[in-house]
Amino acid sequence: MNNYSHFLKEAKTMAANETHRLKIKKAITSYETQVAAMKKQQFSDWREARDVATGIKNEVLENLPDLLQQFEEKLTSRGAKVLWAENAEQARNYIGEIIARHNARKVVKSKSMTTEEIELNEYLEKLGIENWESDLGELIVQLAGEKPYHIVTPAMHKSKSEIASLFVEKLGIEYTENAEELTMAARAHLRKAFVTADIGITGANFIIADEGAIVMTENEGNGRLGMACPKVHIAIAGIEKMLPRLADLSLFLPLLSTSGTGQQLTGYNSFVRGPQSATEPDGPEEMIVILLDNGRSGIYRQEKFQHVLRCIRCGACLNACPVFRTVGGHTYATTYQGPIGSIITPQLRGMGEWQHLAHACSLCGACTEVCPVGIDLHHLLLETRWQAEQEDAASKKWHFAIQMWSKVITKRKMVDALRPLLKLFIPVVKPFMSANQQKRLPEMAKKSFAQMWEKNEFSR
Amino acid sequence: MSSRDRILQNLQVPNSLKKESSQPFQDSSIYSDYPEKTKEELIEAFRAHFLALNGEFFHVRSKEEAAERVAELLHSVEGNRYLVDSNPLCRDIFSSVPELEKQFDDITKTSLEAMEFAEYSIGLTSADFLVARTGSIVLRSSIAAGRRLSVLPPLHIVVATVEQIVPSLDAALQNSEFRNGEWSYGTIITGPSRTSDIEKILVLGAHGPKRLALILLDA
Repeated sequence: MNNYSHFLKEAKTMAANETHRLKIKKAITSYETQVAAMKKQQFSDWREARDVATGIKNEVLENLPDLLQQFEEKLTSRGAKVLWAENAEQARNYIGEIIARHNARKVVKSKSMTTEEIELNEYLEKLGIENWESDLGELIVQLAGEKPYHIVTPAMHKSKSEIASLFVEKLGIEYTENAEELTMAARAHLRKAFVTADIGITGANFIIADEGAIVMTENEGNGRLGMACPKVHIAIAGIEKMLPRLADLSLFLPLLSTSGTGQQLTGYNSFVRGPQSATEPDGPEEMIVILLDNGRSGIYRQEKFQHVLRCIRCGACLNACPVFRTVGGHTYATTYQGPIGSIITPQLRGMGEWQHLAHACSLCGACTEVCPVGIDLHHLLLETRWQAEQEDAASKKWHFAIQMWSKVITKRKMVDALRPLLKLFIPVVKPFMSANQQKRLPEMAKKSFAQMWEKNEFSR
Repeated sequence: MSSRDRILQNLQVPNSLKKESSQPFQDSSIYSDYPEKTKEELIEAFRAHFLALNGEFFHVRSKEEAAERVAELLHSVEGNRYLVDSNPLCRDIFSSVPELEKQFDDITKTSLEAMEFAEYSIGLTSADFLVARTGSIVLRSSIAAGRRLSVLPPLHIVVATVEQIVPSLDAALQNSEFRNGEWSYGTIITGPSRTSDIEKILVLGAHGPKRLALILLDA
């Protein structure tokens, strides 16, 4: 089945799945209440905060090559290593080499969409490496053999009872629907993984040019443990995660927390600027940052799409999107779901295979409204459709049909002449269309508007 | 050509965006609680935020009183292995009650494997800054004696003075003294470890400390 038919099939099933809809509604309603309250509490003017952030991210795009080199220079001066990966395979191979060099058997991971993008879990499994997702939501989907449902809330689609059954089966605990007990079971289970893992792998929410640091945002402390216990720390970051200065975090951390989870600040925001230094009692002996391109420079070179690289992956556009809420995260079958995913996936993974995502959009603009870095998401979805049309040879027939249609529809006489024909035609196709489309065609009016107008049948 | 050079070359594009130098973000009126407040108001703002995040807050007048609070916290946990960083402020507090000092292991004098580390029930550290706007504690690995001490034990106690309170995050992050020096890791701690991954229900103590206590000392 190709991606398009997969999407259609799943969308149809999920749209009719009432249990799913209730779970998502509950989660997103709680999110929206918290976000609205936090925006009001924290910012005197949310829009202005967004504009300032947008300006800083534009500055990043203007200077990205310089900033990347500045970042590399600073970070390597403190003994860390920077590796540049052009694509997913190269990134995986770098990690494979590090694992081999250290003869590592066990890896503990913190939540990172970039590692999902390069399909690191599948790769580590093939290598026979024991690999633990340590974020609670990620652990839940890993144990269930699924992919994350949402870039910020990976297990949004799982109810307490589903998680309870999963933990009974996989972690051998007593059945409980108490969220605290379930969390404590995961904590106890992963403690051992943290203190025995050879390598900790994390993502990065930001990389800072002037400080030569990576920044990790989290609530649970699993990221901190993964950067504190194992003797090797690998961080993988998309090249667009850049901020020019450490001080910029005093805007971007509250902005990300507010849009991501409705918190003023997430529990832990850590910055790492190298491996253990000579004066410190602990920390990894080796720190490697992998800078991932994997199609991002292709987006960068397109002026119309470049500003989508401002994205800080807060997930706000997913939560706001009526299509996402209806069809659910797994229907997209992509690393990045919702509006942002529907724009970048065709760019990163091929227009032909993924352009249908840009059509799963009503152009309502709710995503653009909530974006904290002012990405014009719904117009970019429209732009994606246009680009797909330009590139797609199969759409020539469609173009021809549209041209013919516009010739007819723009001429009054042609419309009038064709009307009797249309009246004959519709009853014939109607039964077929109703059966296939789950929609009923409206009844044809006896007289057209034009006819009624001519005979002056409207009351004044 | 290396991958590095190819990626950088792919990013060199003739586009309409001009290179503009701009200023680092500075605290401004986009935040509702700007401008800066008096010292008393900053303490109160910090306290309110910290308590709302389920932190345990103790404002003390003297080092003796601070030591009393620490001793009380020791009795509130199971287990009897406690770890402390070698900060002078912590030392001073302990020296006022010598028995207290005996109960703590000094991280600089103890070589600890990760496994053994997990057995400590309390980690006691100092801090670099307290951020009033968010109720956050900022600390570096050099201050907190490494990375693990402040995250592995189930109770993290922080000892700080009122002088360390700053109004906002940028005051901490732009501080050159803070940024200099041989440290590899820093963290902004905002409340105890938490998760809402199961049906958005808040649970404290996901992987890091279940409890976070701050002993704030009048200088």
